[in-house]
Amino acid sequence: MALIRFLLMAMVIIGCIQAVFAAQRHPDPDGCFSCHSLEGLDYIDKEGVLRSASINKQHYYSALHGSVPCKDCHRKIRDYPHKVENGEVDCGESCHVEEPSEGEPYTHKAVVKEYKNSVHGHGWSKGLTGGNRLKEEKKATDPSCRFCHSNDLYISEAELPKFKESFDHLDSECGSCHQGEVWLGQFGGHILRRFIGSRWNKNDHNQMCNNCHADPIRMAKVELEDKETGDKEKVGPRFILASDSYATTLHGRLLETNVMQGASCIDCHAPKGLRHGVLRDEEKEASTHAKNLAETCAQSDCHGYATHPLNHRFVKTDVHDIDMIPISNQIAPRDQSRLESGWIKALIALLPIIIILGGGSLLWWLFGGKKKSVTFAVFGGDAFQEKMIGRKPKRKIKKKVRQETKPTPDKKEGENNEK
Amino acid sequence: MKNRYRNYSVLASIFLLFYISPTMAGSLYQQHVERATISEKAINKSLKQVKNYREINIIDELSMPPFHKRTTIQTTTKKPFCTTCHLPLPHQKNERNRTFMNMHSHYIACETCHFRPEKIELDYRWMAYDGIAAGNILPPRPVLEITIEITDPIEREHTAQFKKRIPLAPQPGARISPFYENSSVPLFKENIFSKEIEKKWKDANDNKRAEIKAKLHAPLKEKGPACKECHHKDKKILDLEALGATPIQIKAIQNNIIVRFFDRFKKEDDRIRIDKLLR
Repeated sequence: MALIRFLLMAMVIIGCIQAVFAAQRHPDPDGCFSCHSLEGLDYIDKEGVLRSASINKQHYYSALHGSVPCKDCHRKIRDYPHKVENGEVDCGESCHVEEPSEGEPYTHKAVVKEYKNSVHGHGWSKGLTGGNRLKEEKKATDPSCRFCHSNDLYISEAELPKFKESFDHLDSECGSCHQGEVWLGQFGGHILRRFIGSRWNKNDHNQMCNNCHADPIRMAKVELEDKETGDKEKVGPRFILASDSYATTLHGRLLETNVMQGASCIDCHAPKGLRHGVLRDEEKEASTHAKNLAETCAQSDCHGYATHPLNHRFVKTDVHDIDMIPISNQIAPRDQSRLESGWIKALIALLPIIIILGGGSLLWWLFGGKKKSVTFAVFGGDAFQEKMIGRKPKRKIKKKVRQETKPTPDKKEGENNEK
Repeated sequence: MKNRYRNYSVLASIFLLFYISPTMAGSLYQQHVERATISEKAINKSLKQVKNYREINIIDELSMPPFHKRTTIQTTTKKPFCTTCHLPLPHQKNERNRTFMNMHSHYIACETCHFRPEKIELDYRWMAYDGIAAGNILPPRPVLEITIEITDPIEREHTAQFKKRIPLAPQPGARISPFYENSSVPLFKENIFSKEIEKKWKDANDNKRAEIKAKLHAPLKEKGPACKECHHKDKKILDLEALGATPIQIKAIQNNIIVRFFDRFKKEDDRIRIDKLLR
């Protein structure tokens, strides 16, 4: 009897210990990696697209979704061979990973909501499968979730040495309170990763935007839609060349030289919320709407003075000034807005004078019989020579010489008589 | 004097017969193709396939990146003759096993599965598909540790992987290939025979092409052996030990869990719940 009691107690104690150390990360409870971790599970589909069922397991576990079991995204897969539609992913769904602060299932729902309300809202956020990438590429005009976001490494290769350095003091400092493999595995890396800075810097953000916006052919196909009326309009060179014009600004040039004080695309176009809510300038809620520009420029102590009434013209600065793009650009000359530029107006006003002076100079050069050694001292040349140099102006000397050498009628007669 | 020359010529003929002719004759597969007699039925079947053929242009890269990081497999400089017409990943239709078959094509030559002549014993060895050794037998990888332990705790956390597996292939791109009398059976695209066929194909009309196709496929079997022909301790097409597998690797190959998955399918269109597969 005593032995049974002892065994029961032992089982209870072991159970309690297991409960304390439970919840070890296990991202593959369904055994998907039994097959999907194999290398070379590929085929070429009817469209000629290389399809791969192989997932780099090492990369997956170290990636952003490394703690997320496959079925949290590919919810309906229950049998094999998998039906394509059962593998569809909806990025707005919740997954079973608990959000640590609230203890609720984690979800991208709020991000998707913001994105759906943005200018890119027609992009795909659900129904995503490996098989419809080509279809999306051909048909979709707006970027989908997966167009911008891949299952990247949680700590990029470039940041790993820095992370290792931060992680190195764990046992001596954090380890005194936070002990155990579970903490280390689940939260240690998660928290310490933040010591090495945000995962994306401003140049990364810009690069993401430039993947589309720096491609003028792709941008020329864009149609802007009025949310209220549903009317669509073609974009002009100002939109098509937005990336080029930005690159000429101080913001663009600062970031180009890795000076992070410059503003990135989303710093101005989606500064608030979850940074997916890019709206058209015309929309009242847009950070780039005329009424909100001062606040946008003043954010994060960038241009705090922009909100002062005396500085109201500061926000008139055109950060996508098409005039900054060289006229040699193939798309830029077609832009009508170029004619409204101050430079063009000044050019038109001065054009008659330029034509007269230029034409006159040309005619003079072609047909004007320019004589050597003749000084055209129109504006004080003579006075300069007389007063400053102290000699008679060359023009007067030459005139005098000419008069002296010119034969007088008397002289001519005398010469004839002698003959 | 005449007898002396006659003797020389007889000796030369014997030499040619025993030493040069097997080399000149090409691979065993080539010999089978050249000797093949094709039926009207086979030609008609080929003609139908030739006429219904729709070329697939492989799209190298989409602007839409794949969400998950893929594994990359090193390509070889020498390509199998079969890929003159077939896609580099030739298995395309069978939804259930196409990816698994294509996976095998990275380390097993086409001829290993599809060229299995009766009454001829073939020797299966590793064959190089790269460099100057291409087409030659490669010695198996020396038996070392099959895994390398990752000891760095940071790297362990980062990679979430504690052991690196050592592949069975002695060098990247090497494939298990059939050899007959120490001469390789598989052909490369660069072989003279392959180039001749390619030229003939280009110049031929549909009827002629059907004939060529039927002849090339005459010595081949459309379906390869069942999984269990290799992945079972009693069925031994391949001598895994001679190919350099360690006892642990042999056990892993012969008791493969995925083979057991596939064994549960009875009909072509069967779909089986994964939880049942994983039992």
